[in-house]
Amino acid sequence: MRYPLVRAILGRIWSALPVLFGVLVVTFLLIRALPGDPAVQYATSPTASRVEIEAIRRELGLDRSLAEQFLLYLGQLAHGNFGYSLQSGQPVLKDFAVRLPATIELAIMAFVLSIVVSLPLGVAAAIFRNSWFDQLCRVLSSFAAAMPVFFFGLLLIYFFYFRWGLAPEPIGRWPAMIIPPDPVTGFATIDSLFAGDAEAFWSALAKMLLPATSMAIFAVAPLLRMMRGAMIDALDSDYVLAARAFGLSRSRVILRYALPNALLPVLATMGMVLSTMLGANVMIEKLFAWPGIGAYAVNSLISIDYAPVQAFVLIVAVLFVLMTLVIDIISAAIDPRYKLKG
Amino acid sequence: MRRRDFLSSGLIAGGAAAFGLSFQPRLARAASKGAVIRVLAEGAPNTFDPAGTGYNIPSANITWNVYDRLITFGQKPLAGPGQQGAFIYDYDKLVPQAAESWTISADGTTFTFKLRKDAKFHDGTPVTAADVKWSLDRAVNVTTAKNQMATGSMTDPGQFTVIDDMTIEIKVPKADRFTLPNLALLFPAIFNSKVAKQNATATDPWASDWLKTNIAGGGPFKLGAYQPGQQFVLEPFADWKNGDRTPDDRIVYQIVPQGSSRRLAAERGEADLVRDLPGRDIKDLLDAGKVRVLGIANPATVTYIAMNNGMAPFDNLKVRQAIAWSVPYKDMFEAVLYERGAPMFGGPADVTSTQWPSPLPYTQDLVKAKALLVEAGFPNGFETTFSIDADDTTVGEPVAILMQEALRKIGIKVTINKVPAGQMGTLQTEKKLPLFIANAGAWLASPDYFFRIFYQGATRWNFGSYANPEMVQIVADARWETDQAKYDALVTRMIQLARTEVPVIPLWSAFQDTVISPATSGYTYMFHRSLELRHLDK
Repeated sequence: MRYPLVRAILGRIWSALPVLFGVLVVTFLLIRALPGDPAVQYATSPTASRVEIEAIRRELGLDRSLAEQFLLYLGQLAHGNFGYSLQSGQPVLKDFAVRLPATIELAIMAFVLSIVVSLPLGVAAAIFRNSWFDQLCRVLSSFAAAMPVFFFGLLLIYFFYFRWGLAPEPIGRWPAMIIPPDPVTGFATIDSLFAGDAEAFWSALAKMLLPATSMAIFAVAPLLRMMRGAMIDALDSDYVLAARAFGLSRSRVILRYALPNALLPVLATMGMVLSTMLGANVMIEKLFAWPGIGAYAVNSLISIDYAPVQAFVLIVAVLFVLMTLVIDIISAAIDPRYKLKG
Repeated sequence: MRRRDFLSSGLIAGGAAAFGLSFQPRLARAASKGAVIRVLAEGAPNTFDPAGTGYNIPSANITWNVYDRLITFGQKPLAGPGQQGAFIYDYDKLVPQAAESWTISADGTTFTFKLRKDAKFHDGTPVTAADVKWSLDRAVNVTTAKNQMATGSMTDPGQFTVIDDMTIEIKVPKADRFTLPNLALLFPAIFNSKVAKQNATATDPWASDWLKTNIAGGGPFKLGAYQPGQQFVLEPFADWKNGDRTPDDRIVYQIVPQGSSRRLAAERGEADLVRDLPGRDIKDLLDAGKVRVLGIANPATVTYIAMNNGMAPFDNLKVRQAIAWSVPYKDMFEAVLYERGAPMFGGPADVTSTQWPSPLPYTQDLVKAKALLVEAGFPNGFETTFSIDADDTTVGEPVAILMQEALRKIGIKVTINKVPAGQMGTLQTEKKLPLFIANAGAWLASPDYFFRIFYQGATRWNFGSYANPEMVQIVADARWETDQAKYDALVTRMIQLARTEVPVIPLWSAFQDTVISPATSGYTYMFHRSLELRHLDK
């Protein structure tokens, strides 16, 4: 069992390589196809003339041919160098070292929140099908799905921060007066624990509450509906009928027979939700001045800053590959019929 | 204590001990003697090098405060409504900074600067004339700075001579009114040359790579914690000798991209300086009367509607005038800018002073506009596109819509073209846009300098692609004119041309609005629009 699993994982990664290379090429070409000239963009001085623009173009290496630029880029990547961001003035890798953990930490917290809320609700809605409770869940999930994410963010900020003063200021990962602990993992909460700093831990956690809740609300709808639907299917299935006919207790039927079978499609939805949270929560990051990768990538794109955009697409692609792999492994573990393909 | 309570408290303590948690509150550097001034702004700096390639405006918030220059601009108090207690830079009064004093030779070509004794860089090394020379040599060599330095006749390291440790001499070929003010700009910052040279390489003789992410200065502040894109801390430099008052407050500058978050923090009084709020928010805040807002216009920064004079039909003077008479200035100023600026329209019919920028005589007069359009040979109007920066939703978009509506009334059909921010500069530089909105300022406030940048030449900043040989000639003549009366006559002519030929239509000088906490004083507005921090006190 163990060896086929390892082989399947390796096979999966191997087969992902051409995809990742394709991503590299396409991103490289697409961003250069964008109208707008970085050399002009970054020739900021009011006295900037053609000469200065050309000098900047040379400094950025944009005077070389596309093929030459691409080969240089590949060479850099091979040395683990993702280039330099004109927008932040830092090596791209350094920016990501700070920002990727911030995004992941927030996404995980939002993900956990949404699961904790939506899965029990979904199960309950399926069990008490068409009751008032089921209707209420339906209304809630429709509402959550209909509104844009930042709308809830704004509402939460307005009430919890501005009106009631319950939540900390919606700005960044740390309160202004706290010295963040030394970064070890980059996760604010974990690093605070490593540093043994309770105050930092609680402030980091508190800072995440509003943005994570805003993100979680958006994920509640798909998860809740998927859980309800899958659970209904499971409850109506023959094996549950059979279990009932054997006179097994209601809770045992639900927990041992229906739930595990219902989880499989939900798992796939979870994967999608988590991917979206990782890659596309620009609005939340902007709203809460969260130093994540989403807002960073969009700003880079707007200011035609090539290196961070290329790195962003590549890193997110790698994350996607890894995540689908993990979900497949978990699926295979839950349901033996599910085969992990290499 | 009951047994159960005892157990649970023991469990909590044990759990905390397991994690090594301490439950003592810990404040950042509580021992510091000054207060903490908290700044919230939109933009993040991208380099520590004052002459760095591609430096952005927010980076001046760091470079201006961690480096000194030989001289700097004086300050004068503001007296407008709501401006009490604030200052603005005085372009006409240069004061010593790293230099203690200076003399100018009778012919105006040799400047001799005496440095202050006991001045030190942040690392404790004394500031010497050799450092100043290296820094000036650098400014005339690196790409970003050299064009600007040339506007003050400084082009070659041979012009800077070390007389002794404390004396440096600058020679220019011809007396130049821009030499001194250029020395007070961002670029000729004084570097600790010893440290910089240690980090220079054969391919990078001016240590540009290193200075991008490191600071070798002696300014009133040292850079403390720095988290790119999030925040930075400026610590007062206790040994600072190059000014009248050593600052003692720490500055925490936080980058908050979302305007609504900055506004909420301002309203709740959780920050000392809040910048980059749109006019709408400022107006609401002022109406609510809860916060103090300093609205200060940069006299040399103007928002324009630019017409491409090199492209039909805007090469036609009558067409340009027709458009200048059809702009709904007042509506725009009130509805779009919420009157947060100094108007550049509705001025007197005649040129009465040499002050520039100053209001042009135009107001909205559609009858006059229509007549001019007929005279120009477009009785049925024409079609054109009006380009705006897609990011500029607060000003650009409503201005475009109001323009579209007004021009429709005289028969001109306007399509609004939203251009991604990164592309706007390119299209402006390549002179490809027929009609667009632009905003820019001159660092040096002399009128002829302003016209040199914005009303002639091939750069992007000549937004109207204006190419009038007379303007080119008088701008060149004024450059070296030492007789004040003659200079004024030339400037008057430039202003007349700008008013009648309207290559670009100035709308207003927008305020730089800053919400400031009641406890904070000494706010000074600088030509570069970033923060001048050394006078701030809380």
